[in-house]
Amino acid sequence: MGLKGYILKRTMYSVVLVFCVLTVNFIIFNLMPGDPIAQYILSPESRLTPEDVETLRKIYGIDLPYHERYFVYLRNMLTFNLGKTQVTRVPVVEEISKRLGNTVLLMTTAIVTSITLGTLIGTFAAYKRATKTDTAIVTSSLILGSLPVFWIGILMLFIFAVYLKWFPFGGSVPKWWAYTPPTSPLEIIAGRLYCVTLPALTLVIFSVDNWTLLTRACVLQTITEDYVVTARAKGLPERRVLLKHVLKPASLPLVTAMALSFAGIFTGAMITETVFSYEGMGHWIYMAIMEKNLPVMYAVFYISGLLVVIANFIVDLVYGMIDPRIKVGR
Amino acid sequence: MAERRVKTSTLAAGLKGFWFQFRKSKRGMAGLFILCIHVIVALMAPFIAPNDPIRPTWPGYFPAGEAPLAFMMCVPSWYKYLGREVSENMEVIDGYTFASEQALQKWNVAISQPTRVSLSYNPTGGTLNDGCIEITYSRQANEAAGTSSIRLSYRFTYPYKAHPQRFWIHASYLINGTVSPSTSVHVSFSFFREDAEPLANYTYRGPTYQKDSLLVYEYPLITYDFYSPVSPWRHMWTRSTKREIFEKPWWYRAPEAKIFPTSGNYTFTVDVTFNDQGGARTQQVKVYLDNLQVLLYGNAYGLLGTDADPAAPRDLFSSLIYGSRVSIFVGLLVALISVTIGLTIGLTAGYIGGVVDEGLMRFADLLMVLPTLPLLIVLAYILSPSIWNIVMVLSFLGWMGFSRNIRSVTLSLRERSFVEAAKVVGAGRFYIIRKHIFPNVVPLVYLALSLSVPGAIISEASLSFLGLFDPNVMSWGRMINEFNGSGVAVTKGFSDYWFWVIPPGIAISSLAISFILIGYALDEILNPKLRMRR
Repeated sequence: MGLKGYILKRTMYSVVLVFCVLTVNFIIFNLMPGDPIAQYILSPESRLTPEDVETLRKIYGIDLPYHERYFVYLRNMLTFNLGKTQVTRVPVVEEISKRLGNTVLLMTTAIVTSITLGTLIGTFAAYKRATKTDTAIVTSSLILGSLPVFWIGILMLFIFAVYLKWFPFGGSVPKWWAYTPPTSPLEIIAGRLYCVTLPALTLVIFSVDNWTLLTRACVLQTITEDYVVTARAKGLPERRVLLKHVLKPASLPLVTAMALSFAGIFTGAMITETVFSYEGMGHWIYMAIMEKNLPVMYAVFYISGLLVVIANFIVDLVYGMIDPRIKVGR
Repeated sequence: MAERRVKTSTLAAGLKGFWFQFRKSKRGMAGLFILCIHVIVALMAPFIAPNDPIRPTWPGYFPAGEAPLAFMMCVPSWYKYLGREVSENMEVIDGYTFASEQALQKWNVAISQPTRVSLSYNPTGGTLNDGCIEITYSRQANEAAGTSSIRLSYRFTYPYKAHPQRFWIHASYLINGTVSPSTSVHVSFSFFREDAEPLANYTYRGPTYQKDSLLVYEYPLITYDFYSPVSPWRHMWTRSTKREIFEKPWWYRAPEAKIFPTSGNYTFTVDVTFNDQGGARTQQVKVYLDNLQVLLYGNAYGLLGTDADPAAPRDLFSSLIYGSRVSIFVGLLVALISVTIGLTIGLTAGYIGGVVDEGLMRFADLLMVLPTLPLLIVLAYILSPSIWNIVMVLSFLGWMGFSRNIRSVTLSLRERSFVEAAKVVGAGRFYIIRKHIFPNVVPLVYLALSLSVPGAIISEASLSFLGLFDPNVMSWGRMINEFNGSGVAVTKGFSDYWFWVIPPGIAISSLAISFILIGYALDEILNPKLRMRR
């Protein structure tokens, strides 16, 4: 089987997976309790006649049998016709575009920072393996990693927003922008940073330990391989050994993890955004689930699933390029 | 039989050797120590925690469960040792004061017309027939009408410099006899404060009088008027949060602060007034009083204070203690179930292979592709968040990584010669899985068990934090959720309410850390490959 065959197979598999995701979403969200029309009927000021209810059901398409609804749903999802939100009737795409920027800003800042820090610290720990430094790094990573993210967030708020008053209590843009909109790009960047720092810091504290431990484990696995000893014995400079012989093969699992965490940007950081009332995707998704905002949930679950599938697909291809051992088609 | 004995002895030897190795790991021992503390606290919760974690009430209050345990947002009572002026809960008059003659001795009785009004103890009366007091008013037909009254006063010392947050007065009553608009009964409660000299910066506009060179301030509370007999027993509550408590409108705001501005001697009185408008007939009225309780709620309670629930504030220390049960229960059960699912699926997929393998692994992929936390929330929402449903949902979404791991190990074990040999002898599939493959993955199972507990604990806490908690169970995540929901941090600042959010956070983290530390110690012992070459 050549490279083309492999790609074809992975593509087929990804397409099937996306269909499965769509189907599972449909099943789960139809299992959710409550009738979407009920909120109109149950409200005390409602004066709906049974005919009105029928009309409403027709408008929302709930009068159709399940299989027909399923196919309508599939068609809409595949053509990215994501519909409008339940009550406010705003197109879902518009709502997403309003929040995606905030979330991307927050998540990229956090992910890039924690990956950089984590890989550096992890490599350092592996290099200093079985010393006090290593033990200290590993133990503190383990402790940091078991702090619940909402608690870190609340502590950050207490320290930096309540006591020191360096950063705002929440929100994605400074409050004064509502009265005096920013004019210069410098002002925009400063205001954004002012608001994004605390949630990003929380996420970094929460996830840097993962990267540290993962990097350390990967590097340790390769640093003790015989070919590394050989490379040292050959008299190669230590730097070259570390970069060429250790880090390159060790980066494989890291690449997977990085790809997946970048694919996870779309859903945002639900808990952190909730703690900081940051206007991003995560908080929005949480509110959508609580309000049973079905169109939003369909769209979000579909798109995030799609992104993860694509990320996995890319990772599979990239693997072959980085690691000569799993070169496809040989 | 002999074979079994050999087996047990090797197992015991193995465990002993394992413990010997484990003991050397400082991290592992630290984790074990923290875990032991948590387990002991969880098991002993009813003995350690003084109150119910969900709906605590004032102990010994009649009717049971009506009076809250404490005022909301109390500070810890040990704040008094830090030099803070606090006031604690105080039971000025307990519910048994009218239930025995001795208890009644503490009361000072003053009767305006002793010929008509009399006070007696009725040993068989009362709401629970355990005794009550009986105030009788009788006037012969030939006597002149008029107003007569009886005053029961109870003197007590209020020891705290800080004023109470609320007072709560309850009494049960029953009124018999010829009560009518022309012969009415009035029951009123009052507080009196004795002061050598009036407090500075204090304007008092109510009645005062001089007594033994002390200026006495009178605070009449509400009066209950009865123009018809009352039967069976009813309750009267006088709470300082009620608007209508005072007869004079200028005491509406923070009455407890005005009545109890500082420590000192106070008197609580019950006045029963019979307002007889006349009439030629003989009048007889009997007023029965029972279960009189006067509670003063302080601004400090317990070891960690109370939360902000306005109706029934909870003791945060009890919540914290009982929270350990939920976390340990959910963590262990979820780890057990999800590891079992992962093991079964991994072994099946790995050993049987083919379509079964494809199907199971694609299902795992599917669950891993969906966004985890939103999916958790949706499932918990669909199933309604009871503790069992949360366990189910977390286990259902927690097995995928481990089953992949087991599958890959099984794939390599399948090709080993001992499996080939077993096959040649004619062993069945499940026999081989049970006898030859499973024992080889047992170390992985232990590891996965200890490492999936913290994940489950944190997930449960996160769900609770987001509001998906079992309403009948107190968990640490719920405490933090309620803290966030109360808005205390924004409105009142953090300084006095840190004990609401720091302890549960430390508890969650330390429990999770203990399992992670144990897991890593196990990992070093069970995976010799990880032992580092230097």
